[in-house]
Amino acid sequence: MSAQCPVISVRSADEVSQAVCAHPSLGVMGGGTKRGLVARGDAWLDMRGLSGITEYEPDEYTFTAKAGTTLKEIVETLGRQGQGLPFDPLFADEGATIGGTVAAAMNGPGRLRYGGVRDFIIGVKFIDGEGRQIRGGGKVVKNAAGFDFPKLMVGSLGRLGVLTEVTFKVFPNPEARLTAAFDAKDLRSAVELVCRIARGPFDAEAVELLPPGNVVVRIAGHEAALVTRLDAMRKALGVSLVETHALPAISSRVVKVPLIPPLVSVLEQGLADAPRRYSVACNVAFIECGPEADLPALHDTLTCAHLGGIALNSSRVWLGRRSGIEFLRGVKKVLDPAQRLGSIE
Amino acid sequence: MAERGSALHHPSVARMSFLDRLAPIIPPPRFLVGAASLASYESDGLTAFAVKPRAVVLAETADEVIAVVRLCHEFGVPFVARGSGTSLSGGSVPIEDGIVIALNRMNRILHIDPDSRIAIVEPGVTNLAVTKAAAPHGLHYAPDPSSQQVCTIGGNVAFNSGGAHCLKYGMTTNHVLGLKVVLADGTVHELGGASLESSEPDLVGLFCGSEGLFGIALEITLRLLPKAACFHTVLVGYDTLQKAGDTVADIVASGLLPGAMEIMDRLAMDAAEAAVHSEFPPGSEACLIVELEGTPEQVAAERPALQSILDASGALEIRTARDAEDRLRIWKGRKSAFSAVGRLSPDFIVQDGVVPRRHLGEALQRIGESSRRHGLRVANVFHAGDGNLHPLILYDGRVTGELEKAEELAGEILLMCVEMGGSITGEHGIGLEKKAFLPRMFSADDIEAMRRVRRQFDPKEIANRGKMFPGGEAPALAMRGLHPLEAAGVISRE
Repeated sequence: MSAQCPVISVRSADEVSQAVCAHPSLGVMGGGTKRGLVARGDAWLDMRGLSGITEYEPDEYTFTAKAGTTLKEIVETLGRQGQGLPFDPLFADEGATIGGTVAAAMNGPGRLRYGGVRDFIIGVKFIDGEGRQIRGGGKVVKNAAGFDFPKLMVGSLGRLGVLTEVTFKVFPNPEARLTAAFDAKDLRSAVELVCRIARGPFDAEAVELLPPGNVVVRIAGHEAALVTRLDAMRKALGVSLVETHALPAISSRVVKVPLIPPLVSVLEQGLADAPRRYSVACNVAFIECGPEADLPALHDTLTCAHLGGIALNSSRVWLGRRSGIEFLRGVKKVLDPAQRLGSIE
Repeated sequence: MAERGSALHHPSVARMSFLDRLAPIIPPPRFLVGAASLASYESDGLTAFAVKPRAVVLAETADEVIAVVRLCHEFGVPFVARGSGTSLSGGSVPIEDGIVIALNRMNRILHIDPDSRIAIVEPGVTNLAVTKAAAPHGLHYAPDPSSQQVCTIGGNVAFNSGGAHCLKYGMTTNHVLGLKVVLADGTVHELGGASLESSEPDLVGLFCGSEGLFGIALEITLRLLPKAACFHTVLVGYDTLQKAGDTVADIVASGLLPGAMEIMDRLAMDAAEAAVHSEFPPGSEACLIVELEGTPEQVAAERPALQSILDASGALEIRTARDAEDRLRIWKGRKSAFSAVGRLSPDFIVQDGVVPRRHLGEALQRIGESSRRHGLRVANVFHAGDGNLHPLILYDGRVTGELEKAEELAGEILLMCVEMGGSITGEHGIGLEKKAFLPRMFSADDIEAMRRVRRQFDPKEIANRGKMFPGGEAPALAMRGLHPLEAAGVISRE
């Protein structure tokens, strides 16, 4: 992505298709909040002009938007009807688009309770690497017809198709939220506490671990019940409350590493002092990764721990172990045989 | 169908060698070829179709499945993976000249990690067995198709099964984190993992609901959820279906998110009442079941909001479950409705269309009109929260022309769902039953893209050949009556 690389601003699916056919290689960009994930090409496709919510049916819990629509617009529009995407879409304030959010599978802390992008996307239109327009899924909340192309696009990093339109299921927003922090004495007990909360009948929306021992929990629902619920949780867990405050934001200069709670200690052994956070009840690590970060070292650490990740804003995309790569190569061969949309390796 | 079974009677040399090669992989007691032993594999939950396979193998290990698939690939012999055979779309109906790979014996729960909230299971594990195994840890497996006592996770994955809690918790695919699969070309792949998050494209999502057209899942990593601490279940009677439907819309608009919202009509209630002696509100034409769930504090706070909506809904009667037992009784009435209605008629077809919720009332009215026009009774039991209709079309296959009429009525309902912007299947899949309707939902280009993906993994199109995509040979319709498990009251079709 050098500065002299031509930028093609598209405003329609047809223009995307033409651009794909006209260029041997393309990188697809929305709001530019995760630039490290964009494929290196001889041109950039700027998706921000392909924008707007085309359908929103609050009573149906669904909306359809063009891929370049900003999360901000979506969150605000849904919010006016008391609805939202319960996975706390990331980087809305920085200009992230819904298309980029799908392509990068970016979920915030709230994905713990009801699921993430993959669980709320129900329909998709995209242009494959040969310029063909393909549709998958539908516009109703429940649908089992045909292969699930909407899910395939989640995390595809623009390499399997250029998203032009997405349809999502939405949920009613809770009346109120309450965030509280508990302090565990060390990382090990913090992980244990995270697991007890996530396993328990507390209906926690989010459980985040800020090393070494800060465990932040968010509950949501009827306002009058929140304090009682928090108190019941505190008693059941036998821990004392430190303070209540908002969840700190997740930085976009991170490596996203999916894991499970038992692997936190394994990963910790290999990490230097990079700031990090274990999100979604220790199902993902966000490891800060500034311009001076030692990516090869992190790659080795992840590989040793049998983990893999993607760097949102660094000089390489994939770090550590890949999974399902042979299967993915098969899909790539079908949807982008000429590799116009960038390599998956 | 004149040639059915001819390959067995007059096997070519190549085919002889296929069976000869198959025999050592799966030893005799688990290798079935005789007509009598094949009979119970001819059909599934869509009893109108029956095909005798060439052979059935009862696999016990992943290695056996892999070896059999590789042999099928080498010889170009089609195969159908089968669990308990409860598919309602004909998804596990055998293929003429093909074999059935039965997976019920691969029923081990390999691992449960309560901290990571996952279960790793073999494909033949039943849906309910997962929840039972998770229960001691305070966890459960959320998807709950009505056949959950017998239907297997492998089949749930292949057809992306649903249940009564989909609006809040999603379908099977939303609860599958990782898969080990053998594709039809014999290659073995691990997709996804144990984490809720992923840094790869959602290949697990692509595999789920692919109706067995890519290959067979050998190991499945499932997401478990904490059991809700508290339930509040209400049964409400109305004098019209319309009022029940409107109430669902009001609940949705209020911002409440119930775990389940189900509606039954008069015919369904009468049948269920006769079968399991559930007490439905007398004199009502429709009933609505609404269930709130969550922490006791949250449920207590939501109850008045729900109550005021119901009070204003023109209900004939509002009955709240007194205790856990009463709640189970309400659900028993609901879950047994289908098999109960089935007993009113020698044969029936279950439809599975989805309409946007706002069209529920109109959809039910049009189904009623079609029912009268065709002179066939239709009972309605449906997942109202997500607009998923299950009209149950009653007919008698012994009466000439009735099956054809029933199929025609079913087709009308599907087209209505598409016309209203919905789907031809919410949770049963396309299978054999609805493949002619796939082009009503997707363009030729969309379907061609799906076919290309399929051929990439299954170049000879041997995995569940003849399902999902339009065209190809369809087996003849047959008059069959109730599924044996259904007659025994073990499963119901929805």
